[in-house]
Amino acid sequence: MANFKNQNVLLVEDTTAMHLVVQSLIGQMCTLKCVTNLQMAEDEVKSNSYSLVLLDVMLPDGSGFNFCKQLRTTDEYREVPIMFLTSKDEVDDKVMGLELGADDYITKPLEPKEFVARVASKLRVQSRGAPAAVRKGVFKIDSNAQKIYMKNEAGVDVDLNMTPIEYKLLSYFVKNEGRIFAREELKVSIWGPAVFVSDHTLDTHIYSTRKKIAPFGQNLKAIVKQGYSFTVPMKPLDAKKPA
Amino acid sequence: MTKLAEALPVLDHEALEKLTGYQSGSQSLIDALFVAFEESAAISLRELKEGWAKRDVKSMAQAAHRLKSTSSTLGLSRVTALCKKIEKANDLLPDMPTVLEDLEMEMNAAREALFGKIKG
Repeated sequence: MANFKNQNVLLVEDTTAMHLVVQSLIGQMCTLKCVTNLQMAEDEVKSNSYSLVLLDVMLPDGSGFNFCKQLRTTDEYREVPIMFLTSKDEVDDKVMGLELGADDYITKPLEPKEFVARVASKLRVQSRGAPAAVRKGVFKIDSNAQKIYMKNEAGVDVDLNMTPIEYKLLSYFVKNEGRIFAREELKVSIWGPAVFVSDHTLDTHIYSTRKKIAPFGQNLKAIVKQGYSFTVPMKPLDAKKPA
Repeated sequence: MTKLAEALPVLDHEALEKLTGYQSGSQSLIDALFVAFEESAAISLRELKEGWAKRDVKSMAQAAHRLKSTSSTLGLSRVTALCKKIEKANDLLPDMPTVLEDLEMEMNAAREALFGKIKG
């Protein structure tokens, strides 16, 4: 079986049986995350980079069709491959799913060999295309080049010229937007558990990171007695607003 | 039993074996699927009965769809067919009480068939 362990696949499906089946079929091939509703799916897509979303249509909190449409009309997620995985097997449903921008449409019950082959095919294309760049708000994070770009008011991505530590810090904050990180947690996540890092060193890197992402430096907030938290600015136009 | 269900096997062994035979550790997958079916089937049946009591076609269709998803995955052909009938009904079926009775009976049969697979 092909190995795409470095690629994340999101399964949005409300039945345990399908979680078990999909896990058994492709769990060894990729890094699979299973969620049971659209709210969880939205949170996942916002906080992690996915190479493929396997999407059911009838979910407890809404329609997978609407979620697909939502992703396809949002810049950051426009390119995320979507494969419907549903027991809605009418031709009209298939056409609707594909017209909404899904890359594939598979009906249940799954034909195991075919399903695995289709998933592998999508992941192969993703790894071949490999612009490992992820966009979130004004930032574009290119994990291959280890660079972060920030969209300016003209809509141009400008290289922030981050140092390796600044790159790790900012990409970590962007991926975990809104979470409050204690200093110690940040140190371990960025430098690893074996390296001693003083508070001063961490603060210095936070300071330099803030300067490089101006005018959004204040989005990287120090939370008293708790640590740091970051809010991703969504539009470059925010720069015009007073801080 | 409805003719619709009668024409089909309780458990499509081939479908289940295709699924579990694809990976090693298939017995543990069957065990886990059995547990998943037990849990979801009871909930779906309750929702279907409540939906019928309220004459709520939409909630019945949703419950039937969910159960169909699980049953078709496991190769439970009769349960799947009955769920499909409920799901596709745009209005309240005059024979709904019979359909629900059949469904409950077929779910029990499916449970026995799956349990046989576990023991086998």
